[in-house]
Amino acid sequence: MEKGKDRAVKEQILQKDREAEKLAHLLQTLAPEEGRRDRALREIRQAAQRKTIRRTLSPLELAWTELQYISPGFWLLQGALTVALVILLEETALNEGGLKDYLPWASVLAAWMGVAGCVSLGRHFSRGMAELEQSCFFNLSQLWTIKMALSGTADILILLLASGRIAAEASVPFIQVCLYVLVPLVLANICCLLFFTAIRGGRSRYGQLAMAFIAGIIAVIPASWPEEAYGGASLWAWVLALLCGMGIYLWQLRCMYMKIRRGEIVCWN
Amino acid sequence: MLELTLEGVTKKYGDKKAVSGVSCTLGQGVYGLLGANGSGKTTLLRMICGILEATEGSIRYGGSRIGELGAEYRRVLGYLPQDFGYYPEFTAKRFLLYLAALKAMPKEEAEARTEELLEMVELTREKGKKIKTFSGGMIRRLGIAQALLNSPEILILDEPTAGLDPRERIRFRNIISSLSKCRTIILSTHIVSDVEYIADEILLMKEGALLATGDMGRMLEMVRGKVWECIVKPEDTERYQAYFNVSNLRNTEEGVRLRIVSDTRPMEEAQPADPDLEDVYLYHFRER
Repeated sequence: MEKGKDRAVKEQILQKDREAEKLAHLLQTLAPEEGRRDRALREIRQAAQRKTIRRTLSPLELAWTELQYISPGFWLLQGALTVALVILLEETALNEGGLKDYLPWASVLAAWMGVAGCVSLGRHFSRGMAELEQSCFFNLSQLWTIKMALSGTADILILLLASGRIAAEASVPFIQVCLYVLVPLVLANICCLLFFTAIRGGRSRYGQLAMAFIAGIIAVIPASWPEEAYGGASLWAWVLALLCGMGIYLWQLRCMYMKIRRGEIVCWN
Repeated sequence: MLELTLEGVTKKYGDKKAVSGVSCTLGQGVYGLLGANGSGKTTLLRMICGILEATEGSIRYGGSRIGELGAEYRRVLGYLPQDFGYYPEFTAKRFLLYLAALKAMPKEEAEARTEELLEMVELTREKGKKIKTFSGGMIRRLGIAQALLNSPEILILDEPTAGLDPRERIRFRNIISSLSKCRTIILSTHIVSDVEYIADEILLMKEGALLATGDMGRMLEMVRGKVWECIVKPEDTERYQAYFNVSNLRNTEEGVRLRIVSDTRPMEEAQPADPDLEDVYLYHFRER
């Protein structure tokens, strides 16, 4: 009885082994279904093609793009102001002028450089592009930041070089001359932003021209102050003016960015 | 395809509500935003674009607030503003390349897409000309091209057909219809026929609020039985116009044929007529 059972189990095991061998043999001869495989591959390829590869420009690439698209008018104006600055520096140096001879026009030119930068920013509004640009991946706030960094760096570099020349010619410390030149630049920028945000017409082309005129007048005022205002004793007042000016300007910029973010000044109707 | 969800979107200017509690969900398809001038269409679209901040409510894309998505939301957005500005000294091609750069498109892709779109809006021959020399219709076509630059998932067009001639409008409609797959397109207009031909869904907006939404069939059903046609004597025409909303008036041999939108039969002889979208518009925006 027991022997019969064992034989049956053995037979079953052998049967299973034979089936397993058969299956293994079959598996080796199995070829993939070409049609279905091709279809699956095609679908994968199509899905990959549909997928957009997204790339982001680095801030440097964006700055380069912005440089390429800044209007030629801006560069011409900045160039003309720089040439005027060089000519007037040379002429005053030839006439052996003192600090007070340099400052009036250096202040006005510094102010106009600030205005030129603001006009360049204002173009987004005067041309009605602000709304469209604000809807792009790189929006208006980012464009403004990059433009301000570019034009501000150019302005400050030019004015520092001019200050160096004035300091050497008038025998006044370099830092002191920088203060006298940078204060009008900061004041002009404050006026521009104030004009720009407070007066709706300030965003138009004619509004910006009026702004340039007003900033020029404001910038020349300090130059009409008496000699003592430029002495070492008054230096603290200039430092204070520059720091306060920069504080106000930064606060204005913050307000401006908030307004852009909320869309208050972006939509022109 | 992610959905755009508006929940109680409101925009206030002081005490005045320009947009009042708009709620809807927008998926794939063309949505026609129809409303009179000053009904809040542009303000609503600006909020959907993230240009204006909503005073109340929220706009979500794929469940996330668009303000939080920020640049990633703007990346999938294409927008044609109502007052489409441009830099006049730019050529058409340079203008598109500039906007492609702002849309973070790689240079080679931007070049190819610009050429493709210029051809699509039939501006290839003018691509090297300055925009200041363009006619109103050409500028509008350029505007449509820039909105499509990044193959946006959400395309918002504010009065896209303003300034286009009939041929250009038909071409524009065909372009939009061909783009409606895998996209949400919101088209604002007060030109009823633009919406009639291409919109899958119509959003009627009045005084800042959504008055009615639905497909064309639903819209027409709303005014079925409220559109009438009758023939009146020429001397009675003015009187009828003063009392009823006349959607069409035509001189015939028997008299003047009037098409009237009214809840009640305007006269014994008036016969009910099949409504069209203009009747729907007139019914909702009637003054009488």
